[in-house]
Amino acid sequence: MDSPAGLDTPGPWFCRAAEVTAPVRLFYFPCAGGNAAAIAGWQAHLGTAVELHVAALPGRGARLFDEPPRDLDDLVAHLTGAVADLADRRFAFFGHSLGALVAFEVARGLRRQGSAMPECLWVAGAEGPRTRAVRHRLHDLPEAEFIQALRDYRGTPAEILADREMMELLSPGIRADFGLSELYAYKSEPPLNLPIHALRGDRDPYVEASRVAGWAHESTRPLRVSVFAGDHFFIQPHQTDIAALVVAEFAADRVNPYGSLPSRSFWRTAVAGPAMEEIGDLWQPKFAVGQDDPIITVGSCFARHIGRALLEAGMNFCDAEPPPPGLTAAEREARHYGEFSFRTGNIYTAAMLRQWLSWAFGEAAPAADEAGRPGAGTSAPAGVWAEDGRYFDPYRPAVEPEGHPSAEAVRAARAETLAAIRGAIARAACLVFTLGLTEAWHDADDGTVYPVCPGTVRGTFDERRHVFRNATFADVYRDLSAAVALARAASPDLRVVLTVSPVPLTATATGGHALVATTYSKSVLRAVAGQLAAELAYVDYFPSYELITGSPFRARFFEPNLRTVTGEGVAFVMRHFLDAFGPRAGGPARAAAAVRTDVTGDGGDPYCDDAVLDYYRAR
Amino acid sequence: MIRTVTTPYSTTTAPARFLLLGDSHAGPVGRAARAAGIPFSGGPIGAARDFNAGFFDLRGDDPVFRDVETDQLYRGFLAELGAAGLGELSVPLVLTFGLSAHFFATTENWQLYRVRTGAFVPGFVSGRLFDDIVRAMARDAIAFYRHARGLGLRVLAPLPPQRVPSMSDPEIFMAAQETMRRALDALDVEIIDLRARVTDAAGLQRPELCEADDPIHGNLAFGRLILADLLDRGL
Repeated sequence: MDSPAGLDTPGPWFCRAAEVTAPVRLFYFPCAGGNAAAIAGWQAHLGTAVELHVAALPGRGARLFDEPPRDLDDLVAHLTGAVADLADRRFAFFGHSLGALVAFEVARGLRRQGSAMPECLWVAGAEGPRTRAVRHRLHDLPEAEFIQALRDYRGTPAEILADREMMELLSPGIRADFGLSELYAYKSEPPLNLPIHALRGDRDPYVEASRVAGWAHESTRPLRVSVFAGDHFFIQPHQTDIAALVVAEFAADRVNPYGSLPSRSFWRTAVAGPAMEEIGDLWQPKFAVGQDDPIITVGSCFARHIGRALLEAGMNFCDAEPPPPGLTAAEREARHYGEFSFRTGNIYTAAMLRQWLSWAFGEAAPAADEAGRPGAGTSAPAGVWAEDGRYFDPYRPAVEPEGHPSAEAVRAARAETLAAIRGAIARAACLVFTLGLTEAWHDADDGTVYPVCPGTVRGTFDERRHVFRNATFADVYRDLSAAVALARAASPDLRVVLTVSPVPLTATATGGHALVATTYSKSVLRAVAGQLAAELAYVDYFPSYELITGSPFRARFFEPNLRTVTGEGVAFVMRHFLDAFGPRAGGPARAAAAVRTDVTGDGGDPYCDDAVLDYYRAR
Repeated sequence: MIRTVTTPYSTTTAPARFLLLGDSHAGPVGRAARAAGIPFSGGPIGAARDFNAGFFDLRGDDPVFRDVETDQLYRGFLAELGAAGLGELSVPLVLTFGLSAHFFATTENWQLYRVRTGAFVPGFVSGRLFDDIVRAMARDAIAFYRHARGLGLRVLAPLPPQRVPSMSDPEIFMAAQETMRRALDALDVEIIDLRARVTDAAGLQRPELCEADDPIHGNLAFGRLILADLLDRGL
């Protein structure tokens, strides 16, 4: 990220008013033009319970002669890094006015980079980031008007405002801060999983109570609001009380951490209490995906619903292998077009996903065909099944029901799919992989893994060559880790959402009971998905398995065979997925706020002209 | 008419699947196809007001757009597809001409037909007169579709985003759209009607399918839905 001149000053981004060592830290982000001196007295109120670290921004205080910040993203990036360096103990954020916005964005920055998070976000004299109003534009006013506006604000001493030389020094920093606030553009992300405590003055002319309530959108916890007597700068006369609140909050967490947990964390309020349809908030995504960011879906049969649901919701399902022109709907369905992002057919196992990615990116040895000939390329396996003059791909025998006319055609079709995989991974922002099974059939000769047992859909079962394996946690963990690593090597910013299919096994080859085998398979897959999500900031787990099979849902979403998930069940899962991850995640305000409904009296054609120009400009 | 245009878009590495011509509502479709790597030719060649009446003539079988730049764009797209005229087109034609219902629905245009209470005469928007007025307003758009069908072309027409800007009357918007849908349906034009999938309970475009900072257009996500429907129809 480019930095404006001055932001790279090696000086500290936080300073301390006193050399207090405490088990917890409070990072304070001042208002526009504010600096550490303004709250120097706070440490006395916090005592030895809390260390106070005040953001030392360029253009004021000790950094008066540094270039003030002009870009909030740059500023947040620096502060995020600085906080991460100081995150060796429990901490919270406190932001006043502009500082509240900065604190909020730094918290989101910490989440994006997988760093330790603050325990609480205190926001004072600030409206919610997406509900706030910019009532006056100060930062580019002529100087005299700017100084008058500051006078109206009553946050700067009158004698300083009257001192022309002093204002020549201070004005650029204050203007830059107002610019950050006035030009702030909210970017939607999932709500933070931490309590937000909003404080406001009851006579603050710049902050409306209803807009303060907008902070509720930004947290998964209930918003707490405290009102104090005073104007926009109420925190100064109430610093004793506010410091006491901060100390109490830290202490409350220490005494009983359950006390600050959200209602979703308790079985009674999250599961037993609500009606089945009202059970929600099961997933708080680690990361957000933009509406136009391409999303790849792969996985077992349950996952074939995801792509179309994403598309209908306004997301960007990446179909990297669209059907050729002229196919009927029945032909497209029979040939498995559009089910997943590429035409691999169902990928039930982590081993299969790893295999396809390895072939696509040239990291696996090619298989030999049934005549023992080695694969033609360095990445594509050559094995082909022949049956009644037609040829089938052993690694996706169902996707071409009538088979191919020649072995070469099979390999060419596979090469096309491998190219689609490479192209899709390269441009995707997110991969959604639905794990289905641990049971799989392997080829003892070449080490490859099949999606189904040879001899069932196609091919001939060979007892010597075709070997059954039921993957262990370690096996799945190894294969899935390798698959994710392969994808990330090709696309370093790729995020991964793992989920587990709720569809039970049709049959188990273990010889055991199908129910027991299903439980083994699903529990291993669930555990591995959870393990990777816990280890990697760019991997998350979505609980589709829980949403269908969980006891609160009483098998309602299964067909009478207790295996097939109903359309209602699929819709239920996708509603939860999209509520948290879709364009409306975080509340309807995000999308609605961006939509203008006004139009000029000229028939709206300027919008049409602009839209046409934009079409050609966007190349 | 559009004065600042650059080289028309075309994916030339694979045969184009369709020719896209229209007003600004064609933009999201083209952008979606471009982003998805679906080969096609064309794009928007003017604004909504440009494609209702008096915008083309016939030279033999071939339409000639009266606006020179529009015609140049059109010829460029045809050339990419190896066609000297519309009759030589070998791929389906996707058109949005005459389907900007917000333009027909400009409130001011319909004041004449309101009674003292501000409402329309009972039965007006479902009546023959209304139908005739809309068809007259869009007469050459309808003629273009008729001509293309007469050339034996497969023609598809996506209905516009269900957005009624403040200067337009919602009742007229919906009724005018329905008139155009019927007119094109009678010509065996395939209507891409996504209304049930893209609207909210009030029958208006869902916010996540609207172009931001714009009161009229659908966004890229809306374009993706139309594109998916085109592909579902075998394009």
